[in-house]
Amino acid sequence: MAVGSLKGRTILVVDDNPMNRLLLQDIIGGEANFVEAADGASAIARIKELGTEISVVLLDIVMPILSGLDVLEFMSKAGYVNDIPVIMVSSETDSDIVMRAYELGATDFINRPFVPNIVRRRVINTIMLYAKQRDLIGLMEEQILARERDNMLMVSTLSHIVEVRNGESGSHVTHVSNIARILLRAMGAKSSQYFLSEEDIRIISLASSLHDVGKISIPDEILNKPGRLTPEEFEVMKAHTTKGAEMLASLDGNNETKLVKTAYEIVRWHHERFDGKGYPDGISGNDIPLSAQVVSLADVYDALRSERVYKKAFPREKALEMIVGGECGIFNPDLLEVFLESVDEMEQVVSSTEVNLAEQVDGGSGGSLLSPRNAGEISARTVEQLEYERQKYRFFASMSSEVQFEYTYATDLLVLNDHGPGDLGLDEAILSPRADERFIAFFGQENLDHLLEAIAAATPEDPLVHMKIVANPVGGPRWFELTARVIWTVSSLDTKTSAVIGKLVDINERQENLNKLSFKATHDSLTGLMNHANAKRVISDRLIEKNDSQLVLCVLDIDNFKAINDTRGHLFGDDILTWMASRMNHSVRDRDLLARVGGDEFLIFLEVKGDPQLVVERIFNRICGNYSGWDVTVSMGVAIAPAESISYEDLFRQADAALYIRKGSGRNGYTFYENEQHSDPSFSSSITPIDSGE
Amino acid sequence: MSLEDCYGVCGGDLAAVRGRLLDDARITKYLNFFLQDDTYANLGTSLESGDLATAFRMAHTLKGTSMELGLVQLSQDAAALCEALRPDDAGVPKNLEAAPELKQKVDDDYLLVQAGIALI
Repeated sequence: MAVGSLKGRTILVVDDNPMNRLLLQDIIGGEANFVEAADGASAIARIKELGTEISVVLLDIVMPILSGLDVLEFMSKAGYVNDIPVIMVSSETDSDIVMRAYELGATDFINRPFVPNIVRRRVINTIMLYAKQRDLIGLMEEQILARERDNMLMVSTLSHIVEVRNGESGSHVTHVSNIARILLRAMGAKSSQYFLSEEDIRIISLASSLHDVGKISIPDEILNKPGRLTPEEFEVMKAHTTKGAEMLASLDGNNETKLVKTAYEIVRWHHERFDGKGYPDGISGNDIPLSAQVVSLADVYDALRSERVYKKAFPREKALEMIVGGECGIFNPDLLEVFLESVDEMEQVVSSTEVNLAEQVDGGSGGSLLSPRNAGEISARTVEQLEYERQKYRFFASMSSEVQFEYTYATDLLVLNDHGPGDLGLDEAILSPRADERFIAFFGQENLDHLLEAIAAATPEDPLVHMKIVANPVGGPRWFELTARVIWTVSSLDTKTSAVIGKLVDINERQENLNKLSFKATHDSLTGLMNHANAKRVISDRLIEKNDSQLVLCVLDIDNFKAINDTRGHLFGDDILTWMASRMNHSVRDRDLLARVGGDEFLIFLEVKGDPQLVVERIFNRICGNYSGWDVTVSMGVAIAPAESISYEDLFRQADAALYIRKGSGRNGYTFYENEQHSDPSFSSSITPIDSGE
Repeated sequence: MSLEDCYGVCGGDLAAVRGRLLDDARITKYLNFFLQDDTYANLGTSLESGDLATAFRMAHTLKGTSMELGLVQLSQDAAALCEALRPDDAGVPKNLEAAPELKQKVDDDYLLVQAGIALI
């Protein structure tokens, strides 16, 4: 049959109409692996999930909320459009729309109704085309790399030959190159003013091997004269800078490459001096390119430390002395500083006798000399690695039982990966979540504002955000725990927030249990009223607060409660307690406090604006009553907090004392505490505590 | 009772479909599928409720699916309705007044298609 097969290929079919999706799959045939999406949002989610595993996307245009063009735009912004071919499939004939699709990067446009065989062929061809393109790019990169290495090796070899003819030792070129690299790296580390990329450093280090290429034009007798040069001879010698520069400048067609330009700089100016008294042009300071400055110093140092036809090798200390003392030229003070710091490293270089040309090419770190490629030309290998990473991520994500999310600023897109048990009621992919109604309804505007604040406050040293929120999934409000990490892109210009990733874990059960336990610890289990410890804490706080109302504490117990228990049993007694608590609840206002502080003893804390007497009277009448044939009455002691501050313990003691008096005067009523009357030394509390209230 | 009868009844182009979808079994399968597809129903409800954006999309989809199956008459009328409902930049349909009449035609066509498919 036909060449090319779809076996194992993943095809994403996007159309909101199920019949259309089915028809397409039917037409294209069964060997392919189809993934469906019924709207733009899930199409985007699938693309993010599968990435370049997708061989082609068949994309409808007219869809609800996010159209096919919106999906294309996303793919364009996120860079997918270069790696994943998109074939629009639509009955839309409007030429503006068709153009727009092509502008956004669609590979092909198939109109409905379509002819099955032709659609199938076009899909196969498109897939094959992209696959071949990827392979080709990979091949090309490899070849270019190999070719460049060969070229560089030639340069390296030739300059070596030149140096030998110049009477230098073979290893001089290698030394200068390595020393230059050391110094350049150190300068870059010292100050951003001198910063150079690794690639630039490698180019300079390679170009440095040509620094004396001009010496080819110097006659042998002068070049290798063992004695001193006459002034005329010296002038001839100096010309090796300009002569060499001329040679490089005259290189037909190649004199614009970085390597040659750099070589030109070095060749021409490696004898300039920082104070401007060098040759040939007398330029000074940082007008001298850093490459030339560094090579100049490296050249001098290696010359001093090695044997020459006209001199012996100087020892290390002497060489340093001479250089720093300005005997061998004047150098940039920053450079000298760095030079002195790097002596040990340079000594290692200088003492080796190896001639390593390949090292000059690779710069000792085996890297590529290729400049960074732009987004559309990723090699097949990189793509493979990406796919592998994606698979790993998907596997780990599927193991969790939480919602994982990823928001990217460039595309303003939030993608959710929901492995949680509940239904959030959200799409998998949400464009512009900050303005999306459904998302805000789920997450809560206030929560969102807090989250955005927290993200803005995060830094690379502290990139995590942690929040507990109440959100609104399908089924009602639930507690969630949100953990997020902010991600930045760092370029040489600035640091920008690029994405936020994180997870949302349903902690509703946990939180509710926490709340329940917390309630249990502070409340009485029978009546649901506060326990004494808690009441004490809350009332103490209230006593400190400013209040224009009067603060009143009532302590009461049920009259003859023991008799009730004895006659009718403890269960009946419990019922009465519960009934009493309920009546108390109905007699006081929201701000008032109730507590059970003993077996049958209670406490009421009031804020009264009017006459306390009336309020207490009313409450007393409301809580006494008949329960199941039993007339229930209470005895109550009441204390009003004085204008000066009073501790809870003292106020309680007063109310307690008043209660004691009440019990002694026939029960069934209330008594207010009055100072003189109630300081009875034999008084002891009438309260039998369930807990001591401590 | 055959595809010929069906297409004859509803004004379709069977020859063209045969050329494209290749075999009668497949054509029959998709015709049945077409009946179950709820695009037509959604078109009706969205027009009634005034959801014109959805109505436009449904008309567009209906035009496409009926075109696939060579249901020419239905497809053309759906196309006309679609254009009348096409929203401009402000979201207002181009020719809303014409919609009821055009919808009526679509309804009639659809009934014929249903009748035709029942004949298979």
